Amino acid sequence: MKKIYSCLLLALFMMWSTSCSDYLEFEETDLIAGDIALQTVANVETALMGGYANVDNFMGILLNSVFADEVKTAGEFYNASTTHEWKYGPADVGLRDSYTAIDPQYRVVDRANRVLSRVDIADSTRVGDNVLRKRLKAEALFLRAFAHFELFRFYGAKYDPATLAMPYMDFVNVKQEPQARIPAAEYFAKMNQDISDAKANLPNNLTDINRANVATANGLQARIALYSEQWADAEAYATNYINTPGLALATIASFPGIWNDANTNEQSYRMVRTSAQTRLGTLFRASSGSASAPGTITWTVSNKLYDSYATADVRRGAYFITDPTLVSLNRPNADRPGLIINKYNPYPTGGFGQTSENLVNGKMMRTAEMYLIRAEARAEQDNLAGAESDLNTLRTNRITGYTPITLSTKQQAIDEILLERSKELAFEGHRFWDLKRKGLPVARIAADAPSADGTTLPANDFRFALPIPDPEMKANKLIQQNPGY
Amino acid sequence: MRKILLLTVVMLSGYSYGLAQDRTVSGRVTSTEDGTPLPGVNVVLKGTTNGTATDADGRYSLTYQGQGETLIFSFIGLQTQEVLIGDRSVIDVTLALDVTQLTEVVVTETGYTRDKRYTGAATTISGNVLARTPVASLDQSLQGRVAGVLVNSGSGQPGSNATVRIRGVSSITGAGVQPLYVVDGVPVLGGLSGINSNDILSQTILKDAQAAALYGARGANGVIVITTRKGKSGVNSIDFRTQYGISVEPKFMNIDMMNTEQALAYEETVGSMLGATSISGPGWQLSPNHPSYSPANAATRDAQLADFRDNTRDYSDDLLRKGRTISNELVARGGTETSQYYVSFNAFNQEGFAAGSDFNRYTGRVNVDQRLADKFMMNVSSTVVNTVTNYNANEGLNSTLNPFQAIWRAKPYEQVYKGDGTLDFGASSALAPKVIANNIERQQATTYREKGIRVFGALGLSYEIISGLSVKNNFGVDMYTNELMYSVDPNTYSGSLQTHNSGIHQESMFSSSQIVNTTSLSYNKIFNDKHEIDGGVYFEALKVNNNGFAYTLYNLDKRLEETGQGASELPISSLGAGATTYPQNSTGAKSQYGIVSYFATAKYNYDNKYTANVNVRQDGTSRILNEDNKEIFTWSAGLMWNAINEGFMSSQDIVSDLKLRLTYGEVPNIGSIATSNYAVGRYNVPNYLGPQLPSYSFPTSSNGLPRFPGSSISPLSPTSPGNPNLKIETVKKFNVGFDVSLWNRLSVIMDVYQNVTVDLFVSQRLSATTGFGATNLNINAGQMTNKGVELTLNGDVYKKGDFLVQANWNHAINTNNIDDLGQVDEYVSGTFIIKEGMPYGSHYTYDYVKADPATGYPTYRQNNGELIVTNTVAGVDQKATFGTFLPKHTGGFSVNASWKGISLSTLFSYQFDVTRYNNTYNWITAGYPGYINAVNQSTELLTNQWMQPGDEKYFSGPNATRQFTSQDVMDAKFMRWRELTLAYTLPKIKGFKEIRVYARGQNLKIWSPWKGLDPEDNNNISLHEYPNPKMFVFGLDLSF
Repeated sequence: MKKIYSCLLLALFMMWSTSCSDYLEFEETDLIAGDIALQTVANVETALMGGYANVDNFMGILLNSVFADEVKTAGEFYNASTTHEWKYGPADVGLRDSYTAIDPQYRVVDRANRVLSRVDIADSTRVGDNVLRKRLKAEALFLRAFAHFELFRFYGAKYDPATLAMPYMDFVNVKQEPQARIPAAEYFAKMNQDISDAKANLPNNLTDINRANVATANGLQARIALYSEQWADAEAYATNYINTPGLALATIASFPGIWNDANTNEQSYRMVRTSAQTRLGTLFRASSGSASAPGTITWTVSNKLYDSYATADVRRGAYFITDPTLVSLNRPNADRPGLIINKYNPYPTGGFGQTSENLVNGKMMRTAEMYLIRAEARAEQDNLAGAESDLNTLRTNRITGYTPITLSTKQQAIDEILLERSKELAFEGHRFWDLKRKGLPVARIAADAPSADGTTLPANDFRFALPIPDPEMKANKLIQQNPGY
Repeated sequence: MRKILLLTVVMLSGYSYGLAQDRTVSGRVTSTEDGTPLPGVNVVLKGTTNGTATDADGRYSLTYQGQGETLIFSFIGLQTQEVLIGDRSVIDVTLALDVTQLTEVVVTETGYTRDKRYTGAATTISGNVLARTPVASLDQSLQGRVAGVLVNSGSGQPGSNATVRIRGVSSITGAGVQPLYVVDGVPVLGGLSGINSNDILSQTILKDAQAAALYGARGANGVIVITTRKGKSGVNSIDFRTQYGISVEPKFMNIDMMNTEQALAYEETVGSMLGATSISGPGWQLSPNHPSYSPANAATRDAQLADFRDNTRDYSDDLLRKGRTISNELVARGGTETSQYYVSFNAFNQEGFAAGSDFNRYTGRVNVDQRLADKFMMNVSSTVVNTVTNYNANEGLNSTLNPFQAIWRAKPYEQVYKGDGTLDFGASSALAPKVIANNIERQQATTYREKGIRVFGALGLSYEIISGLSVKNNFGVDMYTNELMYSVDPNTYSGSLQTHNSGIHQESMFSSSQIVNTTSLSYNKIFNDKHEIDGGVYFEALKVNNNGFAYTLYNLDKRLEETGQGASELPISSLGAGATTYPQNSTGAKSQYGIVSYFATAKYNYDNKYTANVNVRQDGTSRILNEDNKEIFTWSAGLMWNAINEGFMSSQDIVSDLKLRLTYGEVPNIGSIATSNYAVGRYNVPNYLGPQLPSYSFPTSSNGLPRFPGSSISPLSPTSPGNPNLKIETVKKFNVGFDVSLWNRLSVIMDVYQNVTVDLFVSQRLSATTGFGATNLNINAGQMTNKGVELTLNGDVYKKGDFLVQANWNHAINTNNIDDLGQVDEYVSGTFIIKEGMPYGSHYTYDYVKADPATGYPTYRQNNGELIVTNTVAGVDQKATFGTFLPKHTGGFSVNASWKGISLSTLFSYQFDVTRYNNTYNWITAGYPGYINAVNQSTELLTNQWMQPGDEKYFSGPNATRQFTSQDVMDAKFMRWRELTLAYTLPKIKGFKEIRVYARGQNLKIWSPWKGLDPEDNNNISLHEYPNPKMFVFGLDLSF
């Protein structure tokens, strides 16, 4: 009897210990989360759209205007002394909220990495999914490189192979582990690798310029080469962009149409904006209550920039306006009544109080920039004739009655090209980075400077590289702060 | 199981004293249950320290001096027996089991005794103390009974469970997690309202680390172990118990609402101050002083105003009632040597004092203990419960349709009934207020009913392989299904207000089941009469399944009530312009988790003086996603010195008991792991792993996620990174205590503890490199400490002849401190602040001082001490100096007096050093048009509100905005007269074993500075909750 009972209880035990072996592995069966969320190629494509949705050039545009010499206060609202006068530190809330790249750009990186983590194994459920899969992967690689390049521009110093770039996130940081910054040489190699991996499977046409294509990849490669001073590469990639069918340089006649979205000339990649999104134009002035009550003008063009345009320059009219309503109101409260930035307002439809006021698409990459990159690359390679040709081609298409110039020295070429960059690419998010890249100071003229302290940021000052924000310093034990902060 | 336990615990004992000898008495002690010998039973000569213990065969021999002595036979878990020796030299006794839990705590009739060998902190309450309580949920009756156990009822709705917190809150994410309840060795799923309190033999509260040894990570918030009654061999009896009572509402404390005359006058005063349209009520709009009053409309207005003046009802008569409680119960119990049974059936029906609320419960219990063969035992404990709960239609809602809001909010001059006696409901406006009538109409039109069925069963099998070595299997099932129906009659005014204007019928179902199986091998041995060892190894597996679904129907057929049958299709127009999809009106979800545990216990006792024990436990659970953290290790150890048994103590007779206890353990808290929910109608199905998994969402217009206008494909955005690193919080619990008894009459139990929670989940910012740079996540990064002292005094205050007065007082002090918050020093969480150096639950608000005499605007005190006058709170500092909603001091005291068959017992409970937000007070002292027009105001405003420049008053003027400030953080201390019972056991009548009659009052009175209905609640804010009722019951118990 003893044995029987012992055996009975033992059998119960065995039964239980085997039947409950899966008790530790119960999954959350009813939740769309984790890997299930990106199960099919179609799901992965929605996630890639989530990545594109986070791409945004707002902070770059405003930063380059405010930190450099493109704008001055319009005297109506000014609370930007920390940034406009370079008094920022890692704890600045204003810096964190308005000029941080670390959160939004790594968000794009993360969205891209999530796509990449699933794209190869996602189920193909529709005809064409296996072709689409390659394209999605290529686009995600592009987005990853694109966002990392932005991160470098914000937080990196002037390029040097040994200088610290940022952590290069080529995996989903699921475990939320701390990440260290890596040297720029390694960082740039990873960016270049991503783009070259992407290129073969990106669409080689401009059918959908809301998403990346081969031309965009060329443009990004040209930028990367420019920043890392790989002049031959910069020239080659810029040339690829310039030679892309459909991306010819806009003429004097078609140029204004770029800015009121009448055409998409020069653009391989744009950021569509609707009234549901923040309006680009509000970076410089608030939308208006009515035609007679223009919104607060936070920034207006600096005298230095405005005065650099010739009267016959088509850009002067496309980028600025002297508005009669404002003149009558004696606004903005500055030395040039009525003069405001109009680059991101769909003129003439976007009048004060109109539904389209301040609402235009973002131009992420333009042919004109590629001409300027190539000109600079050629000049740096002592091909002054080539630089001269590019510069003159651009100016001929911007200034009525332009007389071509001759570049006789490399320094002259560089100076002319930088001046042209400041004029052509004003308010497009380049100026402050260009000054950093070239080791030049921010030099405002007295009429534009908000204060004596806010006149000059010396060349190569540590503030050209933004501080890593405090919350990141606390949350990421391995990240290194930039020198000086 | 019982037998195993018996053997387990029995092996622990054994004294031997060698004193001078004159006479010898010897005998054998056996179990009443199965006749087996009981080793280790203490045999002591009454009034002396002379004693011994039985050997492995249950035999003892004691030498003593003197005559007419009495022997006391006692052992943990067994009923103590006293036997007069007389001239006998051989005395055999049988001892009955008293409690069958692994907790090893002695239960006595009056309550609060502690085990002789348990090293930890635990308190047991005898079932007799809890019996006959006219409250459905047993946990409520714990208030004021046990030191360190905070019990607060959040609702007076009959059948609702109380919130129980043992030794404070030890987690931020798991702040609301309840203790683990274990019934007959099986952990149960949820609250106790399904258990008939008369079926309970004892209830033991385990407070320290020792609890975790047996119950693991689910026991971190304390364990409440419940043992149900068993049959006894040879004693067959039938008991019939009946109870009848009424519940009535508590009265407003310290608040005087304006009556009709005052409200009308106040409206006029404020209206004339702020202008023609400021006040919309009749007191101003119909006033002769109103600018639009003219000879043309004077007569009409005067008549209207006079009508309002005539309305002076007491709305509590309209909204509330006297609730009836009826309970009837039949119990049969008894048995033979090999088989014992306990069978009970109880019908409990209780009406709440709010119209429409009641609770009806039918419970049946069958407990059987059967000896299947020699040394092979089977124990069955089973219950079936059927409940039907009717809720007030708007219980707990922030709405005038909630009677506990309407009752103070409605203007006192409402006309509730028309001249013909019918309800005057319909659209309500300032000059035709219908708050009360609409409330009543909604209640009449609505059915809000929950039906529940619960089955609970435990089956234990045990077999003694060889002497001292036993194998045991315990299998338990707990499953319940609840259905909640919310239905508004389509053929009523309320029905016409629903979507599609013809009622609503919603049914929600939730079912949950848990199965648990524990297999164990235990061993016990005594060496050389002095060394006792006791140990066990256990394997346990537990699985919980949840399932729920719900549907909602509109556009109901007006001919039918409480059904979806006949409901019409929904009109296309309801989809909205341009809509191309139909919404789903039904949903469902399921979830499950499992725990697999291995644990071992070991205990050593030397000569009944020194005890040491250690417990280790390993739990693996599917609740944690991270493979490295899935396995949870728990351990605890304890030491006890039973000083009374030392030789040097034997020469005195003042101290009759003296023990020192010490325990330490590291207990993980599974309740700290955040879960989420699938909303399924009016229920939530738990989603255990959601917060640990990366989750995604498509942006909708309102959730703020980025949309992508560049494509027709919706952008899927990750909304949460999940927490793959999640590991469980661990509470390091230290407890030291002592038990002293003096003259066998007064006992003192004191415990001091410190519980340090490490790996505390705190809200932290993530690194941007995760893709969630601006997101906060609860991460294991903080630390929290609870420290406290608990004191319990029990005494026979007066003892003479048949007259006995016993008193008990318990008091506990708990202080909480947040030691570390990782990256940050503080963050705001709801209405309170989580801040290093402050206790959990610290209220965080503006420091209001008074009305500014010049402007009537609020004056606030800034952190630097300066006063600031402002009508907004922008720029005003918030402070955390207003206390917390978790009381620092809790306690209770009880007195029991008995004389022959008459007994009188009473219990008071109290809490202090506690503050809570009083939302009601904020509304009724708002004193500015927005509130005056919608809410009746307190008479405090008549004397203490700023009305004109120069007034030195507390409340800001009608021209100012009354914010939510320190004015509304109120002292919520209270002392409650919980209970008063007068009982009489009749002299023996032929045919009856016992007849007992009693009268009992519950919640008789409350003393508190609180302003409102009830200072007691289970959270930080008072928001028109259903207050706890006053109850009076009468009962009759018959035993045949």
